[in-house]
Amino acid sequence: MRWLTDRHSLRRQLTLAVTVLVLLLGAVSVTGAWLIFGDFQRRVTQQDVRASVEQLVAAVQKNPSGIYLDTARIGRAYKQPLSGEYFIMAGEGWRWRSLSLWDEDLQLPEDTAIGNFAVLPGPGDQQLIALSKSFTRHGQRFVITVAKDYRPLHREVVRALVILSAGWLIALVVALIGLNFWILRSLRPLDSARRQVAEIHAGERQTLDAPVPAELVPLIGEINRLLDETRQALLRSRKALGNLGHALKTPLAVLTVLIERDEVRAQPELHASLQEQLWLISARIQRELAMDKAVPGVLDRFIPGKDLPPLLNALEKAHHRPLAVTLNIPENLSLPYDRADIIELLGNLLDNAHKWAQSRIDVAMRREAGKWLLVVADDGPGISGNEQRARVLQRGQRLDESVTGQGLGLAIVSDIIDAYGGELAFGDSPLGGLEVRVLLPARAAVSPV
Amino acid sequence: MRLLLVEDNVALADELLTRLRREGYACDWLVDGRDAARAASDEEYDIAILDLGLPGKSGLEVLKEWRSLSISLPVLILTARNSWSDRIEGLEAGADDYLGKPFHPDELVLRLRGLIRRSHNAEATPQLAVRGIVLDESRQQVVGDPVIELTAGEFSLLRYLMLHPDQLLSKSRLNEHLYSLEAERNSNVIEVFVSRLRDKLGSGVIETRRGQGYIFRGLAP
Repeated sequence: MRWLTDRHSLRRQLTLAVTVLVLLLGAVSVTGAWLIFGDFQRRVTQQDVRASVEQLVAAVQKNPSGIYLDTARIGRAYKQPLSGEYFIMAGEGWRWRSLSLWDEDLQLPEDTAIGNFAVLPGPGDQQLIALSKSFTRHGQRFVITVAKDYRPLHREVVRALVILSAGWLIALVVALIGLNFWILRSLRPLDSARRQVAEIHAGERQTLDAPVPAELVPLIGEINRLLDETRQALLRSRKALGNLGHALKTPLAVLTVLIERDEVRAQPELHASLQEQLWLISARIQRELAMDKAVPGVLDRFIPGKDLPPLLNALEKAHHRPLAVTLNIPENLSLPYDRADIIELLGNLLDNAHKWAQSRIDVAMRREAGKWLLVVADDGPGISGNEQRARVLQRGQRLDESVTGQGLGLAIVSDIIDAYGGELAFGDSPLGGLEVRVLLPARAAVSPV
Repeated sequence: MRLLLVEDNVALADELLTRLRREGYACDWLVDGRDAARAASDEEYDIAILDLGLPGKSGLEVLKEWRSLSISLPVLILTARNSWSDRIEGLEAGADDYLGKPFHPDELVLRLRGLIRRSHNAEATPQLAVRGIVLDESRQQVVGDPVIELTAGEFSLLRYLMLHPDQLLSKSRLNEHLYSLEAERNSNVIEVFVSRLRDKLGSGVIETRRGQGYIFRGLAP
């Protein structure tokens, strides 16, 4: 229910809006109903009282003894004690009371004019609406007052209003449930779009094609355009870097060959100096160009089954040594890393292994604590002692001395590992020589939410 | 040994040709990939150095074309594209060796020697030892006591003979493999070199088959 407190939550905004709207409409309609029903109730009651007055007047009869009230013509309620319907008829010298009044009396408010309705408390908890009218009948003048308990009708009205209010509350609940359901449904494509963006990031996909509501299509389109432009820009920049590197390599190649001329070799110090500087330049270029720098959305995976054999073949052709290479790699393995980067990484490590190994090289790949572990081990002399190992690594990384190809290879290897946020470690191989362990973080296809 | 150099950088090619000729290779130099594609079928080369970034046709295309025509000439790719994936690509296209630029020219010479030796089923050792004769390629001498010096022409011929022991090699074939397109081929020169080698090493070292050619026999076992 985090969204309830998040001010920017769409869900919260819509929920509040709908709640306010429904409550407002409900309040308005209930109030309206209250007013209308109240009015209705008052009129009906007044109507009823007037009708009763007429009825009672009609019940006044004359017989030879004088006027009397024909009880057969008056409603039964007037004969039942405290029924809620009462009358008083008062004439000259006489006063009739309905039986229902029992021993109570009707006390109309003082300022009530004849012919106007009045409200007064009745017996018990009754609330009466009363009307007094004067009549002349059968030569007699009299005033009749009828009072009725309006509570029953009032109760009905209240009941109706309560039902109406309940109805609005149910409507509110239904509306909110429906709203939340629709919001979640509408937002689900965004979730799928988010997953797709993560896939693009991991290089497993090139564009977004999540089915989204029409309102979001322009946004998705813009994102795809942006992705494409970024990719193109990165490719261009890589190409430019590559072109620069290769353009420099050609004159460097000429220089490197030129300094081996006898005239230059005849001056050993000059020769050594030139050699060193040229090597530094070419090593730097080599190192920069070695990083393929994977482009998002374009992942050419490294598949050991497919990509290792040609590499091992290349190494064999380069070294011409009868070494036994053992592979300890899960079948059908496909590493989630750029193919060229891993080939460069393994190529350099295996190149070193080929240089130093006596007869055996082991290559292993496996998952370790959610990461990928690549191990290259040989049965050569190894590098003993942590200090020595640290120095080799450092020397490779610094490249400020004219070291052999081994230094440059390791420098490239650590560049690649750094770019992937991985780790490099030296160890003792069970074969007796050096074991190089490369730990690469796993690339999740979907980033955790 | 006949060498085809396909390289479009003039300065580099110049230096390489000088060095390679000094090593006893008869070199032809081409610049355009299209010419190179044809050249390997037209001539009998013993080895080729192939740059990848060529005008007309890329080095890889040229190589693939050669291999598709069953031209099994040993090829060393010499290129600025030096990553392991490039290397693999080149080797998978049919190259026998791959050297990145910039490179040490001594390294190139060593690699070439290795390729040539291996393509003739000989070991890639610094000295070529066949039938009792030990040839030091870097010094262009025959090892022994005393050391026997050889001229450039004698060295080239002896090396070729030693890589084809007991094989009948006609004069025209020897001409084909020891002289570049530009050089004048005079069949008499071969005769002169053979006789000089016999003088230096012993008459039984090279056998003559009248009208057919020569056979390298070396020294008696």
